[in-house]
Amino acid sequence: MAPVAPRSGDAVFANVERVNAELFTLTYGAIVRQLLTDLEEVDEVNKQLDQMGYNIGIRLIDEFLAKSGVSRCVDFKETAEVIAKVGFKMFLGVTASVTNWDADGTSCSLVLEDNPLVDFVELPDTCQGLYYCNILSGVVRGALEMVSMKTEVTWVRDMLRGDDAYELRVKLLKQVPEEYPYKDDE
Amino acid sequence: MASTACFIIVSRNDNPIYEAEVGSAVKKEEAAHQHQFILHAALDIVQDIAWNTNAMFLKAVDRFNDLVVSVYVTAGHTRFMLLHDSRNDDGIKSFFQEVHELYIKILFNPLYLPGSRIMSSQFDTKVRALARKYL
Amino acid sequence: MVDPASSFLGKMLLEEITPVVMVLRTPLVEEACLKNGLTFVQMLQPFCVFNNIDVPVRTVSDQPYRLHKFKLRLFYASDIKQPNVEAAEEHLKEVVTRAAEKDLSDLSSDPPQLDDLLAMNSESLPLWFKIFNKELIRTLSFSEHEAFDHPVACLLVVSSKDELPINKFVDLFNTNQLPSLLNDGVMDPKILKHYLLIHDNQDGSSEKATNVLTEMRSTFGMNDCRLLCINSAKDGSEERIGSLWTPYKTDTSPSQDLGCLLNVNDVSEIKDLMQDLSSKHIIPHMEQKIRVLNQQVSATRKGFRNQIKNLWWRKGKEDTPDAPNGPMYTFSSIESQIRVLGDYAFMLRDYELALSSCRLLSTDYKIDKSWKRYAGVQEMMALTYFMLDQSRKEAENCMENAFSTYLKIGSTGQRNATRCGLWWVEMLKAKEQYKEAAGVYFRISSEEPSLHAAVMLEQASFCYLFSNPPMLRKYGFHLVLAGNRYYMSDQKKHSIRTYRSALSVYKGNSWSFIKDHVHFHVGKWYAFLGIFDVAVKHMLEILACSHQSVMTQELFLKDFLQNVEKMGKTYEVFRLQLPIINMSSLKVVFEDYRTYASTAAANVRESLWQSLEEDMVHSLPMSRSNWLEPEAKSSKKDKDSNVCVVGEAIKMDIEFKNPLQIPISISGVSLICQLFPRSEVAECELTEKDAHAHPYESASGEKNDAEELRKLTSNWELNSGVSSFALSEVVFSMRGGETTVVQLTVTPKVEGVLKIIGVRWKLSDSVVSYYNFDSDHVKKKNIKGRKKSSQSSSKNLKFVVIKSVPKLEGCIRHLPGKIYAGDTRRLVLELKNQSDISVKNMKMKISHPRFVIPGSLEDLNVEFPSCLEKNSNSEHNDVQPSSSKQPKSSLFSFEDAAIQGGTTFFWPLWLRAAVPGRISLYLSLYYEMENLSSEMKYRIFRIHYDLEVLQSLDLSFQISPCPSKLQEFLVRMDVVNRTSSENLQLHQLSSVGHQWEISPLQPNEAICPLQLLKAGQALSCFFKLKNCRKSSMFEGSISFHSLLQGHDVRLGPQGSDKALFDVSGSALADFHHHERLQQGKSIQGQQGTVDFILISQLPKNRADHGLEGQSDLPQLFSHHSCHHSIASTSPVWWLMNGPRTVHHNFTVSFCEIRLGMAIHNSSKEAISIRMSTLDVTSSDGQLSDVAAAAQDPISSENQGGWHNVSLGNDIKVTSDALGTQFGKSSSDVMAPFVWAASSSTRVELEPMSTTEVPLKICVFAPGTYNLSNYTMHWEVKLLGVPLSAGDRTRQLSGRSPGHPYYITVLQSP
Repeated sequence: MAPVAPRSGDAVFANVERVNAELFTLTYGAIVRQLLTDLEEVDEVNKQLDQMGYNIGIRLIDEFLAKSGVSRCVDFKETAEVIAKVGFKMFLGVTASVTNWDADGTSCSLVLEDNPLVDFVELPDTCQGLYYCNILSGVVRGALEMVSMKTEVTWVRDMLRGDDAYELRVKLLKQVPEEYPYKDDE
Repeated sequence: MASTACFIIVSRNDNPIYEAEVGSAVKKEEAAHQHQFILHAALDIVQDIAWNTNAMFLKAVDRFNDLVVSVYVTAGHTRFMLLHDSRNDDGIKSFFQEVHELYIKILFNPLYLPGSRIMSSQFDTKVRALARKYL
Repeated sequence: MVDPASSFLGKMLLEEITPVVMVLRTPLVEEACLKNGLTFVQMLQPFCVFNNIDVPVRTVSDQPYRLHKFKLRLFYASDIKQPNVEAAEEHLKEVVTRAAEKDLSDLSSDPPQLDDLLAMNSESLPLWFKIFNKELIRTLSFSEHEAFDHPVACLLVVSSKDELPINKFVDLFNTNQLPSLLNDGVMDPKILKHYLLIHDNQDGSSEKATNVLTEMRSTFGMNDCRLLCINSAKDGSEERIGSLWTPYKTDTSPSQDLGCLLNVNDVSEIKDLMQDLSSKHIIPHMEQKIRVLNQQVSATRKGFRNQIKNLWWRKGKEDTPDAPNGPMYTFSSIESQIRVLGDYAFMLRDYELALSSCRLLSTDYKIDKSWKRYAGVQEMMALTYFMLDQSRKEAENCMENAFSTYLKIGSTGQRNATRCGLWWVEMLKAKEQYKEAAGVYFRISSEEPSLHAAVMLEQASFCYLFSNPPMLRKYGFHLVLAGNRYYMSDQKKHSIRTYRSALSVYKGNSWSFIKDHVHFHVGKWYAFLGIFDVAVKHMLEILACSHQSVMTQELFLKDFLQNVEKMGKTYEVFRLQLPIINMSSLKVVFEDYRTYASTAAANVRESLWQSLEEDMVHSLPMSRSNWLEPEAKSSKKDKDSNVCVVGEAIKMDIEFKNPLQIPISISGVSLICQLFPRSEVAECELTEKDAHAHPYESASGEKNDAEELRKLTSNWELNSGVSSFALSEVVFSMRGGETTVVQLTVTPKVEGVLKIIGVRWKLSDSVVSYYNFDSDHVKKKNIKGRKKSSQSSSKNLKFVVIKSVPKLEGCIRHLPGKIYAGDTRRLVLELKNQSDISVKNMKMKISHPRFVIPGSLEDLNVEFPSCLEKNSNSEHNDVQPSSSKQPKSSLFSFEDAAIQGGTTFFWPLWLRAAVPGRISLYLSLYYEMENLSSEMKYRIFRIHYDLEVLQSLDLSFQISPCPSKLQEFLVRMDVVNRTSSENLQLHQLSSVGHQWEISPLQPNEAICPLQLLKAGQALSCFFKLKNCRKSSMFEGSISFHSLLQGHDVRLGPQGSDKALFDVSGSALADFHHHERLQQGKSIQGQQGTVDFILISQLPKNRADHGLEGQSDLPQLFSHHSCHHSIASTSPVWWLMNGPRTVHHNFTVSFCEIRLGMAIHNSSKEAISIRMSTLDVTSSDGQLSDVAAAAQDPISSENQGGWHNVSLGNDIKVTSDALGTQFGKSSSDVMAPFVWAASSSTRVELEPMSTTEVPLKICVFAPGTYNLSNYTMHWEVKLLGVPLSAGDRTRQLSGRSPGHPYYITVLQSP
């Protein structure tokens, strides 16, 4: 029953309205910086970002499903693909690649080569340990939760920390089965 | 390449936020404070000139013995000051312009609050590279 | 624009460039004058300045103009020569030093503030600058290349006492004592002379003098002679008029009073002497000379012809070698005459004339390349331009020109350059072009020797200050430059002064190198002057100079320390920046009711402990929150402040950071504390209040803090012996850039309220520094979260000290850090009770019962591995209940064990590394005080260890029912050795639970083929598992222990006599129990599942080298794997037994075969079982039978009858419909046979019982038959008891098809 989900979000991306990249970047930056000044603790900030991301995600998913025309994915694999190819493209303008699946296909990595959030960003010594893009992980988590997939999203690689790419590790904790309104009795 | 060249970025509230000895000459112990003195003093001249011109690159604004101070003032009134003993104005000019690019990048870094010291190592390396290229 | 004449420069010119009068006098004249303490010249000086001689002057132009101000300069002939350099230098130097003297006073005061600097204006400049400049200019008076210093007139003075005054007059003016200027023909020796006769009234009447005068008149001409009578005052009779002279006489000594013998009419006489000397003689003379010269000049030089000629002529003298100051010009030469003309004109304020002649001259000199003169003329032009106050451009060009020309001609011109520079500067100043002026000063300074340069630079700096807008940075910079020069020409006071005022500019900016430089040098110079305290103050500023190079840092530190020790006493600073204290790392470890075995334990999050200790502490009457003794003492304030116990140290971790790259040595680091005994608690409250008030205030507040700290420490040091608390002192040294965490302790000795206020330390034994924790609130806010307790740190540093209570200390003996999974060993928990009060009813809670369980006392004295072996079984069994009473809770209470004061207490613990990975064990031990009077009812002793568990064996089991035997199973065990290096020797495999019996497949052979399992090796071996449950076991509730009683199989080498381990032994049993819990099923043995314990050991030869260098080897590994469910879930087993092959002669009859069906009920309830056989007679088969019956009545009837009956009296036939259908469906595959006897048998089976159901089949033809076409219905009989939760999940009834059973029937012959 696998629906033909658009394998790339370009089409969708083409007709969502845009915002100036720098404005976007700086806005996000401002948020992070404010959090840093408010919470004073880097890991607190990470938490907060993730939470914010989550709140975005749980809203974003509807928009996403509405606009992108993606219908239910058969399995986690496909979901990941859709997020990477359509979701990221649609909202972030970049596409991620889905790589190193583990054996039982419950966890994979979304690898971003470039990431509009982090233009100009450079971590000062005081902010080592900050996951600058932690909001993304939150978004993914939130969005997936709305489609009844409990996931755990962590950063594996982070260019700001000198890695060569951004790698989000998405781990499917449990898939809440979809309840149907009626009981199917035998 | 200038034998002595001391590059300093001065924030709008007159604090040095970046300093680099980019000269080829071996760095002498007392040079450091001497250069600072000269550049610091030159700020007065810059103040005079900066408000009378709208060019960003004020050429050599001040000199001390054989050392010349060239200055470039950004719109945010951050001043790039170069203390040098060589004469190639256009070299210096393009140096300043490229540094300006870099500086803007730094400014855009949301984790850098303007007017604070520029710690970024890659900025440093880039600047030195530019210096090697132009001065 | 001010009138140039009234500008400073103007004034200066008006008094510097004035006619010079050469004075020649006889010694007696001097003598006469000296009675007044004045030389002759000095005596006249006050009267050489005419502020309004109203003299008409007519130079070249026809209409005269009036001259108001006028001045004569008088010099002795002997003085009219270029002053020699050294003397001049000395003089200047002396001027400067004198200026320095009066500065010393305010050296120790604070440096000037910026804004009052800005308030200054050029008038408020120190006077000595002007003096200095003037002196500097004076040093090159009487130069021959310019004429305004050349004497205009000559005053010959003879005393009336001289005999033959006339002759005296004559030979006064003979050449030998005339100045060189006149002699070597630089100037015209024919000079206006004036003859003066001095008469000293004290030498009687003056008629002699008058005679002489008349005589003079006759010889020298009427009006060139005068008589001057002085000293006509009677001693002390008239009023003093000495004040006239004081401004002129610099080196006046108060003793002599000037002009004591001069009375009013002397003075007036002198006055009009000078008056008409100037007006009647000098000025006219000059006018006349000007006119003459002018005529000559115009005759020779004006007009085109002359120009050409002049040029031509000069061309002629091209070949003259150009000496530095060009060709020599005698006074008669036209050039010098023009010069004289110019200068005279200037002196008479006829600037146009002066200018024109200078112009004329300059070209000539230029062509002649006599540069010095050229420059001189340029200079003159500039001045005239200035005085004319027209085109400043011109003026400056000329100055510039002159300046550079002077410089060009090198050393000889250099000083002139300076002079011209000074004039230039004044010009600029007059036009308020301070910036440019400063520039000129700077240019001068670069030419002058350091001292002069210094002065110039300082003036330059002031120019910058006055320029608009004030250029403070330039100001500062030039001050520093000046200071530097001053220092070179060792004028330390001046250098300090300049640097200090420079500081006011550099104060509080972040140009680090600048600040360092200034502070360092000021400090150094203060030290030179011996003002060490100020020196040190300045040095302090630069100590933490991480940006400086190593050598600089060393230098700074060295000098600083030197000064400090020079100062004698140890220096005390408030929050010295060396080393830096990292407030965010501040951590307090104190022990109230919770005590810690190690710092590691203390660092564990509090919440974690609390969660662990919950039920332990719940068992208390009072809750944790108010453990203080419930009297009034536990008031609010005590609640929110921590509690510590008398005699127990409060530890404080402070992180010091050395900002420098050089090592520093810190000593005497200790806390600063305040302890208020109970009595004074109230007023401690007060002090605490204002202590908290402090930090909000600014520097002043900090000062107070500093004071307070100083006070505190000092009085602590005083009575440290009898003090109410003891402080630890730490000494350490830090390498460059190092950060060290230091643990400081304070141990209160009496009850009360203790406050930790700050920390003090000594930098390399000389500088004491204080650091006040409370006084930076910002930081504190940040660290709140990080601190161990969630209280804000200010609270955290306040302690309520209560009287001492016993405290347990201890550890777990030989607990390895690294351990292999499965390693099982015995540890000893050692508890010491230092105090003399004993503690009782101890309880212990262990975070990971799977890893560590408390043993029983007996375990202590048996030696380890063997105590688990079978032979030592018995003693375990009786201790068993104790440890496994309620095995669910991991709260272990030592049965009424009490630790007496001062004794040590041992208790065994069992450790088993359950799973690989690193785990941290938390043991928390609760105990109560013997005497409940103490404020603390109980305490908790917290132990924390980290344990790294390495992989050892991986274990997996597969169980499949054994087809052939009833209730037997095949077990396959796969073992992989995952250790890195260890070889393990499998020792035994035990099945847990009484109902299982494990045994090797073949009774007598080694199960595992190899002796030991090498690292990384895998092995699988097979066992037979037999269910041997005896119903007898079901009487009463079975004890956990008996459930655990297992059966073992020796795995080791064949015939090894090593004793087997008893898996039901206490430790193993408990561990196994926890394993079961872990692997998450109910403890009640479900017959469905079986547990295995694999026990392995290290081979004996491994004994030599230890695991991870540990002495004690792991002796025993036990691996537990639980809940392996056996295949079938149905509670019934059955087995059909009977013959496999039967011989029968079918010709005789069909064959009847008897079989038996053994049915076993393995469940605990009675079960009703119905076995129903299905006839394989397919419908067609049946028809055929019927047909047969029709054919053969008897048999068929019989058959059919039997058949029918059999069908008929089968009550359950309807219910069998399914069955028959089933049978039908499968009928065709089977050879025809029928079940004889009742096709459905029902049996009731008691729990755990077996019955034999007889069966019979009839076979009609030889063949092989599969007797699987029967079904077993079983149903659990629930004897009215409601279903327990467990049962509901279980299957209560079921149906299963029969097992295949093949029987072969052969036709027997």
